[in-house]
This record gives sequence, structure tokens and C-alpha cells, in this order.
Amino acid sequence: MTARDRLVVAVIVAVGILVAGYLTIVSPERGKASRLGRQLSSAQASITTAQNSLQAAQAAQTAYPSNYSTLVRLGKAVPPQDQVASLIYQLDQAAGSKHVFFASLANDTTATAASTSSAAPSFTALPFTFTFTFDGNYFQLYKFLRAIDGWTTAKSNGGLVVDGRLLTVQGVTLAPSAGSLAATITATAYTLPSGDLLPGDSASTDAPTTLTSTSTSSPSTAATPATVAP
Amino acid sequence: MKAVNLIPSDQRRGAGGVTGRSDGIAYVILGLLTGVVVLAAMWGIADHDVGNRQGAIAGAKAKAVQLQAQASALAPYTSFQTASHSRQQTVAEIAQARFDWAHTMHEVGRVLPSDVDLTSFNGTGGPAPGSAATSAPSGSTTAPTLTLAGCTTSQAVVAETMTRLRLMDGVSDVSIGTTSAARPIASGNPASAGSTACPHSVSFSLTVTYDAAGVPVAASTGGAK
Repeated sequence: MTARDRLVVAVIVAVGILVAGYLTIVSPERGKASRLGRQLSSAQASITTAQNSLQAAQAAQTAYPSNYSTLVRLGKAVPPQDQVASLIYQLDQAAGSKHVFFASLANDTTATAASTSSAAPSFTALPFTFTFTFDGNYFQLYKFLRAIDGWTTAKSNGGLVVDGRLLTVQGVTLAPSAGSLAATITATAYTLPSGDLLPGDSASTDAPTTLTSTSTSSPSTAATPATVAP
Repeated sequence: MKAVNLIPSDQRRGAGGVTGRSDGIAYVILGLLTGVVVLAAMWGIADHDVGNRQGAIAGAKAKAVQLQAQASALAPYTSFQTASHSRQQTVAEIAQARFDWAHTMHEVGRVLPSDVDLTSFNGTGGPAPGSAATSAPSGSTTAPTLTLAGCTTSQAVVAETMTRLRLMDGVSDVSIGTTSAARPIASGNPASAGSTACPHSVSFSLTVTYDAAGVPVAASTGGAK
């Protein structure tokens, strides 16, 4: 073996040693470091997620009084129980203020329960259909309808003004009645299902303890014609 | 006379070439050692990174768990807020989906000619109970209809009434049910058109159909105070 051959063999052996060392020792360690780098990124992402969750939770905690207040106000519109007594009280008050004689109220037991939209699956309302019969003139009944619609109104910015029960009027029938005008209003009220109660709901059971008579006022205008003549 | 170099050949300057007397093996060993040092440095850096990152990962996981625990402790507030917003949204949807019968009565009062008397006002329809306009399936909102019966002085006024009823918000159709004029039997007794309450000789019934998609919304017409 000549000197040149020995040199070539030595170079090959040296390069082989270095490559083997890199592949068996250095490269796995670098791979491990790279893997850990990815795990670290993932862990930092989970920190960010957790921080966001915590911030949202802290914001919810800060907003709890406001949310509680909102829930209590919504309880006036959609109470946890049917609270027919409260509904009668509100109708009577509204009828009295509009000089409309509130004659009768009947629960329509033929109505089937329905659920609200799927947009808010946690909220399910059970409608109650009532028939109201009122005496009054055309414009008094118009004002009365306006009043009960105004108990709960949605603002254009998505907000709500809640001043009473949420009612959906499904039908209005006006007819002459003994020198006055009788209106039969078919409406639906809503209640919360028992499984959907929150802490604030208990505060919204503000049914009045005493009810006034359902005949708060006499037919307001003796000159009301038998026909509807707007 | 020929000069003779008495220095042994292996000790002369430049003897063995660039490889020296070891025939280059020394350079190879030197290169190998350098390579080993470089590899050792690379391994050391990688090992240092591994150690650092393992520590950082452990710390990050611990911090994430801590933050999650804090967030979980406040989860009731979050779910309460979600439920509150959800309920508010549903109530708002129902309130907005209502048909504004008060506005309808107001408009009927505005558009009817002065010499028309109504004997019946019957409105039905609108959104089904519990359905919200934005998410209710099609068909759950029926087109509201308003059936009016009354009397007036002439057939021309009935036609004018139909035309004016069409001017109301959201009305898609006004159709005639009946219109009948009775010949007065005697003067001073105009109520002979089938309705004993009506003071005019021409009685009619009309059906006003509203556009289901464009029903008036209670909120759009202002408050009720």
C-alpha cells in the first residue's frame, strides 16, 4: 500500500467517523430540540388560549351585575312561571290607562306548546294563548294594542326595552257590541321552561300580591257608535 | 567534480512534500479532531436547546393549567353571561317578528274614506308562537290577513276604499269578498243592505293580505307610551 493509498483510506475513515457521529449523536439531538420547539409553540398557544378564556371569564365576572340586571328585566317579559295573575294585572292597568273596559280573559287550552328559534337553543318558550275581550272605541283599542306591544320592544341597535310581559298578538277581531265596540285579541305569552332557570330568574317573580278587579272602568265613551268608523 | 549533499535525504528541507514525513496522516487526524470538536459543539448547542425547551414546555404547561383552572373557576360567570345574552337575543327576535296590529289599526283609520263605516274588523296571521323571524323555518310565518266588512254610500267609494287600503304598509293584495247595493225601500231607512247596524246602502267585505316577508314590526313604529 503506497503512502497515497494510506492517505485516501485515512480521509475516508475520518469522514466516515464524522458522518456517523453526526447521524448517530448530533442529528437525533437536533431533531429532539426541533420537536421540543414545536411542542413549546403549542404550549404557548395553549397559554394564549387559556389567557383569552380567563380574560373572557373575568369580563363576564365584571359584567355579572349588568347581566343579572338584564336577566331580571327579561324576567318581566318572559317569567319563569306562567304568572297569569301578573299578566291580568298588567292588562288591567293598561286597559284602565287607555280607558278600555277589560271584560274577560280565557286561557286557550287548545294551543300547543311551541319552541322558540334554534338561534338560541338554551331558551325555549311555552306559549299560552289567551283571548281578551275589551270594550272601547276604535282608537282606544288601537292605543291599548300599542301599549301591550310596547311592554317589550326591540330597538334597532339590538337592544331591548322591557316594561312588561312579552306578548305576540295573533289576531284582532272588532265587532259592534251593545252600543260599544268589542275586541277579541288572541295573543301568546311566554314562559321559561323549568330546566332553563338561572340565578336571576328567582328575582323576577314579581307577581303582585293583590289583584284589582277586572272591571276597572266602564265603557269609556257613551257616544261610541255601534259601527267602527275611523 | 560533482557536488555531493551529505545531509540525509529524510532530513533535507522539503523532504516528503506537503504531506511531510507522515504522508498526510497528521492532517487527516487534525481534520478529524476538528470535525469532532464541531460535532461536539453542535451536540452541545442542541442539548442546551433541548434542556431549555423542556423547561419552557413544563413551565408553559403549568401556566396553561393554572390559567385554565382560573378560567374554570369563573366558568359560571361565562355561562351565565352566555345564557343571558342568548335569552335577550331570543326575546328581541320574538319582539321584532311580531306583526304590528296597532299600526295596522292606525293605518286603517287613516286611509278609510270618511263615508265608510266598518261593521267588522278581523285580523289574523303573523308569526307562529315562538318563532323568530330570523330563524324560523319557512312556513311558520303566515301572511297576515285583515278582513273588513262595512258599508258605504256607493260602489265608487268601495273601489276607492280598495285603492286606499293598498297604500298601507306591507299590503300585498286587497281583494273583494262581496259588495252589494240595496235599493232603498223607503226614504230614511238606508240600512237595508243586509246589515242592520250600517247606516249606508252599499255593504262590502274586503280581504287585505300582507306580505309575509315585509310585515310591519312593532319596534319600527316607535314606542307605545
